[in-house]
Amino acid sequence: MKKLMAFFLVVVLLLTMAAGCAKSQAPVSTPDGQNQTDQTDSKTDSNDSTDNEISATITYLTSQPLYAKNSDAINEELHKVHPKINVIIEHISDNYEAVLKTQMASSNAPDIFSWQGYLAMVPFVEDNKVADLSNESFDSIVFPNFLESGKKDGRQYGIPTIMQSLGLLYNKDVFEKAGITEIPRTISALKEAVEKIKAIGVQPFTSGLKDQWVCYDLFWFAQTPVMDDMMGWYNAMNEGKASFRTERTEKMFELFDFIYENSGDKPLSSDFAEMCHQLAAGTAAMAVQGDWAYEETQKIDPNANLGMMGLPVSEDPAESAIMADSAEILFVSEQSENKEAAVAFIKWMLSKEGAEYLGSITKTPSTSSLKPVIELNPFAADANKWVNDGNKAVPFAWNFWAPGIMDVVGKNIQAYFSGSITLDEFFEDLDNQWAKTVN
Amino acid sequence: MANFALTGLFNKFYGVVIRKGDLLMNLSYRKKLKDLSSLLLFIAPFTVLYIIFLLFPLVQGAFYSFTDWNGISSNVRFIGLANYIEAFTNDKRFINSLIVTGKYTVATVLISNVVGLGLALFIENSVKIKSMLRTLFFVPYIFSLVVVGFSWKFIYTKIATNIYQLTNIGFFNLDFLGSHKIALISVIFMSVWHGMGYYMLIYIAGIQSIDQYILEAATIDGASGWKKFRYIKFPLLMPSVTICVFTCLAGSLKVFESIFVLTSGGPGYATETIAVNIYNEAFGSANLYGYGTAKAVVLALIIMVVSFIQLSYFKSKEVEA
Repeated sequence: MKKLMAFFLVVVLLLTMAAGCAKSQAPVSTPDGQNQTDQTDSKTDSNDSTDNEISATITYLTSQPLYAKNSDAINEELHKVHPKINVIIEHISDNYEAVLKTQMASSNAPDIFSWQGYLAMVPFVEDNKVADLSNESFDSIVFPNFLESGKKDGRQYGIPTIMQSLGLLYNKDVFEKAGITEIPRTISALKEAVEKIKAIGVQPFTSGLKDQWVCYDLFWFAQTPVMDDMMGWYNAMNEGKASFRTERTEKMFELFDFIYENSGDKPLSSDFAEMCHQLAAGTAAMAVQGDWAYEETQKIDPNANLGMMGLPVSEDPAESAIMADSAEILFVSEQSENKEAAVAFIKWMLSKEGAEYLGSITKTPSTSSLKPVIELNPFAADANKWVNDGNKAVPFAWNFWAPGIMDVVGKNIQAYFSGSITLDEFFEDLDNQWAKTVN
Repeated sequence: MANFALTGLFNKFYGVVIRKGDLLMNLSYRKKLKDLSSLLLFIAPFTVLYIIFLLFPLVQGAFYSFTDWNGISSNVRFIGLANYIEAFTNDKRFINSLIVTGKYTVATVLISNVVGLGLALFIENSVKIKSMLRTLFFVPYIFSLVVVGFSWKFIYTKIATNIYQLTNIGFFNLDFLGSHKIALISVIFMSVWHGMGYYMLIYIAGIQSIDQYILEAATIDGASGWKKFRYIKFPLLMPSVTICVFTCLAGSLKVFESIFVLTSGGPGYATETIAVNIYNEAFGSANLYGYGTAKAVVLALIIMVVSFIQLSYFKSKEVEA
């Protein structure tokens, strides 16, 4: 009898294990049918209420750490407009792609997730992983030129929510101390400034090159700012008729070498965090990075006097450029059961109140066309001024890159600077990789 | 009838011949049947887990290695051996990662075992503080590799620089993680530091199991310390060496965490081992899941072949006292 009992228990144990692996698609109904009644309740609720309240809990995978950190406050603010929508905000900084892909493969995709637009979203669109939002009239609340980044074949899939900028970050106090009154707009002016900074014993640049993504951000300046016919080049590249190696990209590498040589003893051991810290502490004067560095600089000195300018790319002051592009482009999963709530949440993010509230957290400009008033962080403010003053601004290069080229660029930049490959090999390898991924 | 066939099967299994009507034999046969069923019952939970979480993914992974799946699409195209051909003919990074893994493995296996054995002998001789030293050297091993990696990242970048500023000794100003010539050595050093305590422990157990009479006999015969080690201790330690080299070899060939945390394969490709390369290929922006899987199959085969050769060679060298 005992043995029979033991056998029975083992079988039950095994079955439990098997049950654990099964996909839980249908809600488990309790014997008294409580869950079912709950569901019908909420349905009748939403039908009854006059202002069409949607009731749901949605998940949102973001690349913006501050959203996740302020998740409770965001929910509170959201409830003023949508009292029945709850958002679970999850942030992943490393291996974002791996996590997103794993969640999708296990039919566990977040309702809303952030991704790049343009070419980077194509695999998701082609495989019906993201919902078509063309009929949600986002064009009435977002600047139409920003919406381009989330379009494919005239259909709207991604909704860009914020604007980010990339340029030459600098410590204004160090510049003042070194006696640099005007920001350098040509390479020779930059070299002069570097001499002045050296003279007061400060390291001119801080590199962050240990992080691969910082490496490819740097390389973007050898792309969009120095191309006369951007789309023409990318199209030619996809047909295998162009090369990364042009006269102008080679020239840019002279500038990169100059930056590398003036980035202290060990530029390849310095990572993004260290770069921000050095900049804020004033132990280094400049860095090629974006306005997202703001949060990290705050950790060292919240009152650091920082700013952003265009990176000089030639002897022509008008060519000195920053990159400004839409970011935190949001997609709604096709598998999501709460599409309506997800869309309502994105619309809230872009509404005047929502954008102003989120802007007060991130201090980053919104893409909303409803004129939200946002106090910008010093980098974003300078970038905004740069663009408004009619200076050169270009899009991020990665939006046009063949999938997979990002990692190769990052690694190859490191390999080039560490001296394990030559510039010839650098360009050759990049061209080969591009051809490979396009085919 | 079915019952009869089953009986035959179990007879074969146990090599027992049962004569019909032999009550005694029949009893022992029933006892053995009972033993077998309880045996099966005991291993069932593990076997089921093993099949679900290891065997099934393995087979599925091998299947994906013959496809061009991108990790997202539901459209999986069968492309035969193209991934394997690509890896060996047209992928410089993969070949590079094979070389890096080779260098890493040879260095780690040799140094870890020499250091581990050395520590074991040293500790066995230092009678007074034996247990304290044993704990001290074993401590690194109980930390997670990720934690160890972050600590060493800090040591290599910040602490080394600080020491240099205080002492002005040039060695500490080396670019431990940023130079493509030194980065791999830095990684190997950390791995050895992390793993040596484990190998030391196995060697200590091996040394302690050596019969004292043999050593005494050798001493009486006038053998010196080195000779005792070379001709008595070391040959008798061969089973421990087999185990240590085997664990270290398999671990080194598939090394991932320590490198991922410390350098993520950089600078450039200087420390990109096969596992890191596979990770970048399958989960990076390249979306080449099928291709990454093919490389993973190659890695699994390499580990199997190398381990098999190592095990059979080392086993042949083992002696008994």
